[in-house]
Amino acid sequence: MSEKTIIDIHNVSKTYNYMKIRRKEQGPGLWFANIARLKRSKEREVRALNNISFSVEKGEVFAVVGPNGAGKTTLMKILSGIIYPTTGKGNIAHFDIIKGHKKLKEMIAFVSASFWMGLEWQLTAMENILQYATLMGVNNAREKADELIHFFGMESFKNKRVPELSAGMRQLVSIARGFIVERPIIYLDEPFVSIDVEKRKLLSQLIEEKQSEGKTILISSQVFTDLDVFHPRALFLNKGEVVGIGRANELMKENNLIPYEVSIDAFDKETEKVLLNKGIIATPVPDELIQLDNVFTVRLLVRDGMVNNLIKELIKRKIHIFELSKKDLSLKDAYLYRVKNETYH
Amino acid sequence: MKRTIDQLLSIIAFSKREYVIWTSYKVNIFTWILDVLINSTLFFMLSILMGKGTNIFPYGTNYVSFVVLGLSAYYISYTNLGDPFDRVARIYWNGTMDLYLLSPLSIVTPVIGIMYRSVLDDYPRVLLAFFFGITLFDAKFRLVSPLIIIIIVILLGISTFGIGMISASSFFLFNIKVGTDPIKFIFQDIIIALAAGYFYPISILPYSLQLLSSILPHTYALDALRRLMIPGGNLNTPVLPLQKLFGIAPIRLDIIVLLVMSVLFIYIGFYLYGLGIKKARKNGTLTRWQ
Repeated sequence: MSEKTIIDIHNVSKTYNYMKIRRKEQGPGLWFANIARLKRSKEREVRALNNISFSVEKGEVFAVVGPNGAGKTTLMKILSGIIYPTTGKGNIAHFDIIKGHKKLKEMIAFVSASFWMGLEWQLTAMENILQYATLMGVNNAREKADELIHFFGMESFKNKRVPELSAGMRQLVSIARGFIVERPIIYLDEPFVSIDVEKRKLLSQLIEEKQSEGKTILISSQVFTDLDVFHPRALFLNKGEVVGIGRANELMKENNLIPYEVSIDAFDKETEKVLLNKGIIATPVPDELIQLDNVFTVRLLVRDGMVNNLIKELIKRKIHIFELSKKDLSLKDAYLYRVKNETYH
Repeated sequence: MKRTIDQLLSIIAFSKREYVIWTSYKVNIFTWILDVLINSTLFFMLSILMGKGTNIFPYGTNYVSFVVLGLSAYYISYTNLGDPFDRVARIYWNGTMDLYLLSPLSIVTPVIGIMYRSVLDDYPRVLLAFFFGITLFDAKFRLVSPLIIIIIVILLGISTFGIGMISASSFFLFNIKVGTDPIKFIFQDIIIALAAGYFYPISILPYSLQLLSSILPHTYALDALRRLMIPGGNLNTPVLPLQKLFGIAPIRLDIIVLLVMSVLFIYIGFYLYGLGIKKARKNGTLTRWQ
């Protein structure tokens, strides 16, 4: 572990031994049923993470990406000491993730999308932020809360109670509540969910500010586009397994792939199959196509020197091309290359 | 020292929040005044039925005074013993467990803080019971050794809270996340309901039940409070099995037992709750969302 390393995780796995909450049963029936099930059972085991190793340097923005159920939130909770790994070990800011969990939480500020569910519904947005600040032992809480409310443009709803707020507003309250705590490491679990483009930009700006102050930032997300602005190293997770670690360009096994965005009047699975089989593109096309007035915009990872073949193939298939432009490699390209490509082949 | 102050400040912050929540239910105050009035009336009627000759020795002769103290212990116990499990359940189901575990708070502070709503709801009932008892139903009280009375009430509060924390630990230890938990059911709904002596003296119970009542802090708190606070209360005659066994002055023995129970139940309660949290951290049942 070098001096710069602040997060160092080795072979961490997490298996949940779920004991189902039996809502139909209460009282003695439930007690006896649960006591009988206290022993670990292989049948109830769910493996959320398998053999995860990675490290993060101080001052780095590091992304943990993957689809729903990939194990991102479980990993974030292990890294914050809320839950223990089943096997493996790790140090964060020189504190062991199990033995040092009490000290570890003093190093971490945690912003989570699911935390809006933990907002107090009888309190206003401002009261929620201040309440959390008191519990976290924050000094000058009112001043800091005012700054964050001003930064995110929350003045119009700061005195509204939680039920009166939209999902995006509640998410902003959760974000402000997380950022009021000043810690050297900041975890953001799906922070871009539910908030509009303008607020996402503000959040990105705040993250960059925190990075410039020397803070280490871990962002878990399934929305890749918001992460590219940080050019982060990323840990790709899929079904609890590491699919790859690195920056977008490092994660490509081939270095001759160039992303293109092409606007066309039609695109189907047959065309995709032909382009893949002829080696023109390297990965299947993302499921979500942008469609505007019968014009489809498709992002393709084209092998170097094959762009002419792409055009010829599309023309041959009587597909009208409106625009073709070269793009920078993104995390999503790398993710599709590593995850979708393997699924396809 | 700073850590203790931070915990206290957090409890105050929780209390403020619980006050806001409690006052948002406007009809609360009317329902609980009515509840206490009906309870007091009920026992006043019973006292009329049983007449002045009711034998509640060594606790004087006024049955309404006897019951007002029983009701007071019931209200304190109802909150301190019955509430921790429900508060842990609220923290879990509201999804705030993660937040609290990330804070510098001890694992018990949020439980105590959130209990404030029940304190608001139940503790004033004690004053109301005294008010109705004295003004409407001729209850009489005396104040012998107010400091000892305060100590006994505090010890009753601590020891019942200890049992409450033992009950709360079953939320994680046995994954009892819905309905009643076994410990609260066994203590509150069976042993205490039967043998705590809220509404009748322990001495009228069969000896086996008197022995059962010996494990309850209520028994000793009520014995001491009734001897001290009801006019005509006898301070010297032992009536409880332990008082007869040790031959120590009854009130002194009551305080010693309450002290031992307070330390023991609080220790076991906090230990088991910590064990439950540790177990849940390992098996993934600590928080609602993973």
